[in-house]
Amino acid sequence: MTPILRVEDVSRRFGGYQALSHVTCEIAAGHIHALIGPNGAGKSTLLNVIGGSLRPNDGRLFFEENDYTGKRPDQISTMGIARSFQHVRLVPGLSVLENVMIGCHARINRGPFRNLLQFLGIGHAEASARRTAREMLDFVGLPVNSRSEPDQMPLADQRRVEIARALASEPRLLLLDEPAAGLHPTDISSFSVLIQKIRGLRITTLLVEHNMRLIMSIADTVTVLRAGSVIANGPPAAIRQNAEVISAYLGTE
Amino acid sequence: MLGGYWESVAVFLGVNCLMALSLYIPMTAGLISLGQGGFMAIGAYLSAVLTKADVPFALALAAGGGAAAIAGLIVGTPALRIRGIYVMILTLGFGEIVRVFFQNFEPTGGPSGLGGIAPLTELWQLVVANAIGLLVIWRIRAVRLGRAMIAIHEDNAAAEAMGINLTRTKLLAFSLGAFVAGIAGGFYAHQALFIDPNQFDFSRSAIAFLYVVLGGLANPLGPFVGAAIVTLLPEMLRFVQDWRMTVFGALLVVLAVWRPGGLLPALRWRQK
Repeated sequence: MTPILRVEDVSRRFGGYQALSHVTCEIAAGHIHALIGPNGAGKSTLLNVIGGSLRPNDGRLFFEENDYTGKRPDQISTMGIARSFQHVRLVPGLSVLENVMIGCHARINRGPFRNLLQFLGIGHAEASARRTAREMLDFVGLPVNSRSEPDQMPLADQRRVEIARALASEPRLLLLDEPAAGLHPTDISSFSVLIQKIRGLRITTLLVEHNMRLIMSIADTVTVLRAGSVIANGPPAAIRQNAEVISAYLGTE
Repeated sequence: MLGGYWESVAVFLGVNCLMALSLYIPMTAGLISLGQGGFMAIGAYLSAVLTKADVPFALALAAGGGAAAIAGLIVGTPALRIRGIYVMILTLGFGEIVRVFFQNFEPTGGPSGLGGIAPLTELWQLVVANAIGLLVIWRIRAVRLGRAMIAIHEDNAAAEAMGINLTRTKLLAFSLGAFVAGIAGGFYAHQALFIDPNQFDFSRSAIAFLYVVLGGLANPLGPFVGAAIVTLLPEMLRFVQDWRMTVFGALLVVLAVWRPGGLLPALRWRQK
């Protein structure tokens, strides 16, 4: 299968600390691809490099075979890569619906003339963004009439709003940074259903996660990082048997 | 209609409301400018020179606002690449540069100022200008630009990851604010009839900041209420005579403690 994303020999340093060294991996289109590893292995760093909020010191990134190394996060988002954050980052001053509409930002009202029409209240892009936002909220399983502010919602619902916001940008690759962290087990199982539902939209998901049961049940491919390097890559069943992975997690040398 | 004195107070209140608005717009995108006085000076001087050359008032106002907006783009481009407190320092420096420029620029009178400006400003014009301003910030809040500005205000990096072009959105907000300050300067010049560089010093910029902080960012009426309090309260406190500014300062402290988020409550926006 053709990869939707290719990470080629990517390194990233923070001062003297080598967070990623020569990471190479591919993400197959349509897969749920999990990125695992012990704390400090560089999972979030890799996700941030892919999303553009961190630039790699070396190496190249390809999305659908186009080199996008060095592009800004907003350009990368417009290209078709959306993300959620490890710590929920919704906008507290906006309603839940408006938060999701932010995801539509780059898709609606291109050009000053259309923006002006919308400003004067005679365009229809706002209405269509609102419709998309409602559909996305419905898709992630939140009540459609969400006028409340995000900080009044439980954490699991805030995470759903973040995913809805990411989906509203109509991505082809979705980056999820620990979507199940801090959630109750019943919420985790509903998140695994949601992530599989997203695969049904033909969106590829790259998932950073600690919850092994979640990963083993939904991932098609797993990449294991340790100390900034890829130590294993393959289907979950093979990863479970991999001696190096077991030693990375259990610390047996 | 109003007495001469109160009419002139009302006109200056209108000018101050526009100045509050000029800072409210960039501040909703998280940009604190301490150089709004500089943009006001540009609008004041340019429009005064133009009306002296018999250019119609409306055209002169627009030119002053336009020049201020262009200055906003020039200052904003480097300023917006840096963040937080450095934007404040840079805009503060800009305000001083404008003042010193007019201090040394002989064609507009240098330090002795520019007099003989025609009294063209009328109260109704300021009412109209402020009504348009209120309408504009109201509408901006309802479209994607407004959402983007609020998202940037809360979290630059998250906004950028959602596909919002930070530089473009911030520059737009910043130069729109500069445009409004330039218009305010034009109205001011044709009411004061005499302008000199020291009328546009740092305190002019700082007091615009006070209007916005006092009224609160969460409500589009905030800048107007803030400007009204700061402008009218010292006038109403004339009965305490010499203690006027002291009482005024004490009231501001009380307000800051009582309602740190600004006087007005956040507005619940109807979102169908």
